[in-house]
Amino acid sequence: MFITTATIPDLERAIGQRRRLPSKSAEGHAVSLGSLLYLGMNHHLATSRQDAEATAVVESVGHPMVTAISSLMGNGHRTLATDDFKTTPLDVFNVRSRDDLKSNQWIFFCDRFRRTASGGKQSRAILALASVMREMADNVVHGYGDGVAPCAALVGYHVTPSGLTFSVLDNGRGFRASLQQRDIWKHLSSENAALDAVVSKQATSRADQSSGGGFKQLFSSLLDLNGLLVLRSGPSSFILKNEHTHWKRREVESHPVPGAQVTYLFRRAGDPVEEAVS
Amino acid sequence: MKIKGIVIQIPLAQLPPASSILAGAEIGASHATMLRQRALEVGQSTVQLVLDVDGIESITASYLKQVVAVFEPAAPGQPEIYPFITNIGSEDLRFELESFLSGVDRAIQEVTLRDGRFEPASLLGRLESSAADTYRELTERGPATAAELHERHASMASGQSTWNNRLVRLFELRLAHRQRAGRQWIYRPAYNLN
Repeated sequence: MFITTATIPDLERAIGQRRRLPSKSAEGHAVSLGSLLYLGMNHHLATSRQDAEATAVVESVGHPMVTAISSLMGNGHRTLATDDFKTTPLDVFNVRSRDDLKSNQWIFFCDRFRRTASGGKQSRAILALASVMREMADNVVHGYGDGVAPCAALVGYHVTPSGLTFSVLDNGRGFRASLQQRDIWKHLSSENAALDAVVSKQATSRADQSSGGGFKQLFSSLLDLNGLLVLRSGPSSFILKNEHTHWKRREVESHPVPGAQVTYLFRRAGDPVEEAVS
Repeated sequence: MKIKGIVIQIPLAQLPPASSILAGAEIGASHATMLRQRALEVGQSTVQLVLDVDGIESITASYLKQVVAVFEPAAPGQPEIYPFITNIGSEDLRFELESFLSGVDRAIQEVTLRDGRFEPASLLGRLESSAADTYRELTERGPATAAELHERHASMASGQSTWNNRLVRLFELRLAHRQRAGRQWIYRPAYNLN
C-alpha cells in the first residue's frame, strides 16, 4: 500500500480505532513525505502521552523514517540532517517556536533544500520554491499567536530526480480558528469555508495585512511550474492543480484530522503525483 | 542650510540569520526591530537609512511589509527615518521590489553612494501622478514651500492647499524631508539634506 497525503484521514481513523496496518513487505508500506510527517508527529504525540496502542498502530506502518521524525521531535535537534552544509534528498525541520524560524539552523535547512533541488545550479524556479517554503512555515508559526509558546510543527522536503515535494504540518487549531482571530473572518462556518477564503480571497489571520502574503506569494510564484498543491485543515482538503493560467480546484471532505497541512509537489514532467520516500 | 542627520547603510543579507533570501513576516519583523534599533542608537532626529540589498536574490512581500513599517511617521522622541535602497543586483529582484511597492502605493528612492554622498537613481514603486510631479519639482528645482510651488504654477488650477497636501504626502512617504521656517514648511528630497 502507498500511503499518501490523501490517505491521512484513513490513518487518523485507524489510530482512533487502534487498528494496525500490517504490511506484507519487509520494508513496510511505501509512504510519501506528507504522510511521513503526519505519522512521525503522531508517533511522537502517542509516545509522549504513553499511549502504547496508538504508538503500535503508527509503528505498524513499518517505515523507518517514522520513528526518526518522532525522535527528532523528542530530542533537542532541529533537523534530521546532521551536517548543516551537506545536501540531502530528505530532511525535516522541527519547529518548536516562532524563534526557530529566525535561527541559523532554519536558514541552513532552507539552503540545503535549495542546493539539493537545484543540483548546485542557478535556478529561478527553485529559488521561488525555496521562498514559498519559507513563507508557508512562517504562516504556520504565526497561527500560534504572540510570544514563543511551544507548538508542534514540522517542515519537510523530499527531492528526487523527477521532482520535489515540500510539506508543512502542524497539530494546531486549523485555518478556520486562526482566521477567526480577525473580525472580518469571524463568519467562517467551516474549515471548507476557511480554505475557500484563503484560496479565493487571500484571507490572512495577520492583523497588519489585508491579504495573505504567504499564500498570495505561493499562488503567483508557482503558476509557471508543473505542480500540485494540497491544503488540508481538519476534515477539509483542497487539491489545486496548476493549469498554468489558473489553479484547478478539487474539494474533498473526509474523517477529521487535527491541525493543518500544506503540501506542494513539483514534477519536471508528467502528472504531479506523490512519490514514496525510500 | 545644513540639516542635522546621519546616513546608515545596512546590508540586509548580513542581518541575522544571514541569508540571500529575505522571506517571511517573522524575519521581516525581526529585521525591522534591528533597523529601528540602529536608527535609535545614532541619537539623531533625522536618519537616512539605506537598505543595501547586495547579495540578496529574492525578497518577499511578507518580509517587506514588516520592513517598510519602520518608515512610518515617528512617535514623539523617535527619529524620522528616511528609506533608500542600493545595490539591486538583478532585474528579478528589482521586479519583486517594484511589485511590492506598487501594490501598497509606496515608492522608495534607489540611490548609489559615492564618498558618502547620495546619487539618486530610479524611483522604485508607484506614486500617483500629482505626487510624482511634485517630487520631480523638488528633485529638479530644489527645496520649496507649498506657497512657492503655488506661485511658480499660478496658471494651474491647483490652490496652495493642494500643493501642501501633495508635499505632506511626500513627507509621509519619507521621500521628502521638511523643516519648519516660520509659519511654513520647507520641503526637499530626502536624499539631498545638505
